[in-house]
Amino acid sequence: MIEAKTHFVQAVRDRVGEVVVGQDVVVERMMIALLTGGHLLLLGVPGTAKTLLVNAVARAVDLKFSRVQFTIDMLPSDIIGSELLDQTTGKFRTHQGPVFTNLLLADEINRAAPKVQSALLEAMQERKVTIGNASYPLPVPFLVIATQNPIEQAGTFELPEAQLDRFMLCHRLNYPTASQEEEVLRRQLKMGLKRVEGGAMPKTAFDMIGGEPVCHIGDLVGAMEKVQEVHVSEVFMKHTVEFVRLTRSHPSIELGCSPRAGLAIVQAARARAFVLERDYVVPEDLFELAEDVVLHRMRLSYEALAEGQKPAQVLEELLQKLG
Amino acid sequence: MSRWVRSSQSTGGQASCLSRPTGFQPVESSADRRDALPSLTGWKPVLLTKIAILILALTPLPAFATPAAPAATLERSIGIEGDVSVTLARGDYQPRPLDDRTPLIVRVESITPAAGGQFTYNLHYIGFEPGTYQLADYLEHPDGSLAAEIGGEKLQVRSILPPDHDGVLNAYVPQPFPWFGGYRMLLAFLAALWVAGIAAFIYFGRTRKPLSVPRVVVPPPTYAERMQPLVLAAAAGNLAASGQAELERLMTGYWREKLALPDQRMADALAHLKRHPEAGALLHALERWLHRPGGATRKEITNLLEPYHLAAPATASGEGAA
Repeated sequence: MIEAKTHFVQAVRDRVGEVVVGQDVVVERMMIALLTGGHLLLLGVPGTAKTLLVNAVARAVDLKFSRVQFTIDMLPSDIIGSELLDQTTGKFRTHQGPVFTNLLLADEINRAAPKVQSALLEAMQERKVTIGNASYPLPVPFLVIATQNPIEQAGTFELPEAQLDRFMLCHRLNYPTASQEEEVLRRQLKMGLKRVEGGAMPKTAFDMIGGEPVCHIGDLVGAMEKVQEVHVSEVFMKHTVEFVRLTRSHPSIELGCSPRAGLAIVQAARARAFVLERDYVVPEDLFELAEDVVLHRMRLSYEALAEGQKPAQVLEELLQKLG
Repeated sequence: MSRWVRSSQSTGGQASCLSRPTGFQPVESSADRRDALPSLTGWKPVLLTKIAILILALTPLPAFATPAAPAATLERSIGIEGDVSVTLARGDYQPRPLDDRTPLIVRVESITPAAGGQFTYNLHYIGFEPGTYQLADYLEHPDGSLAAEIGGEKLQVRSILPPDHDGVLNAYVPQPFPWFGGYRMLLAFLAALWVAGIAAFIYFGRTRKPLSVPRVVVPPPTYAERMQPLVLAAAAGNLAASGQAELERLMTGYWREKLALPDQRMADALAHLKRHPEAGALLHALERWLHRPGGATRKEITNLLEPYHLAAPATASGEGAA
């Protein structure tokens, strides 16, 4: 267990820490997503290093990485690919889109039209796509990390609850602390220039991502196997089921969590226990992960919203009943 | 030969009668129509009559000429203005200047050519004294000579009051009140009804006091009380997984309440508890028992729950469970 962690978790954390200051919780959530194969939605205002984090993790683990900037005029074929007529042979050939990768960064996913979102989310759920009459499995592991700007809503298409449910975790990024921001500035001052073909331009954090990966897919698979060995007690499952059912009976909640939320809690708790060098899950894992797992899966009633209640407040109220 | 045509009446309010001279055709006025209304009794018919009169009075009637019919005298009450159309042979008659004591004023409103080289005069007149007046006395030629050729057409102004009236107003003769008991009795009855209505409104609209049934306030069971049966079952070794989960939740809640943790996230509160020397040791032991593979031995469980097992029965209020 310890050996697997030092080979994988700590190595990735150290590599990401070379580029990104702070955001330890986000890195932990990304590790959980990697170790469980769950998808991750990052909510944060621009400039909180969402894209940089995903880039750094992808390069650290030596994953095949694709990034798609979602826009309103995208088509599903821009994501999953299409059949093209090869004029040299006179036959159709399949062009696989950027979804055929290990780690897909869907930047500002809510800017794409619903049909594009649906195409991606179908791939996320079934881990295969259909182009023409043929189905193609996606590479393993396949992980989508999507970002969303929670402030700017003009020209966006909000993901419906059924599609949000596909994301195992939805993490809300906060601004770094003052000392972390100072460290960001200090690092920027030391970056210097990047010279390319006689020209030059100031380096960015993306240029600082190390070239060689610190681990490979084999290490990831080994860690994933270890995660599957993490013990989940009957008592923890009772806590989880009780918590999920509470979301369905609370008067302020119009739409509670599906059973998928319970599965996500258990899987994420296992991965978190592995990251924290435990071979069993504890209620602390549930309390820590509840916001990321549950908050995007429940919808408050109109009356509760009219009374000024916030989803996070209601969630905390539910957690208080658990302990 | 001239022709009389009577048009609208400018003012109303008193009954008038127009006697037509031979060769003149009067036009019926609203006052005449009012006279022609059937005699109605009661306030509704009177009201309807007044409305009809008002409508008719506001409706201008066009002057029209009809074949000459025999008539003797145009008649008006004192102070009542009237209009009359006269067809005369000449078109240059003008009102005769009169002093301010004249009993009749005649005004020529318009002169329009008529058939046969004649002229139609629209005259407006008002009488101030009763009597019969000849039209020729109130028109003259442009040179000031009398228009004697007009003939004996007459305007009659009569008095409504009888000639022997002494000017005394009619005396008020009180009539008996038509309803039982008289007017005062009716007012008294209405006042009593009003007071009774107010009283009823207040009585039935009052907020009724809830019945003061003594309520037995049963305090919710404390954490210690709720834990007690679970602790006993755990000590006996027959606590199921659901009971273990409930026991863990109650123990966490018990320590949160006991340490009076500030309002904070549940995850932060749990971390705070784990740092506490007494609560932290308990929660870590509880985690090892309930969540770690292999759990804990019977002895370890007994030792873990011993403080709660001994203290809970003696402290039903839950103050000294630990």
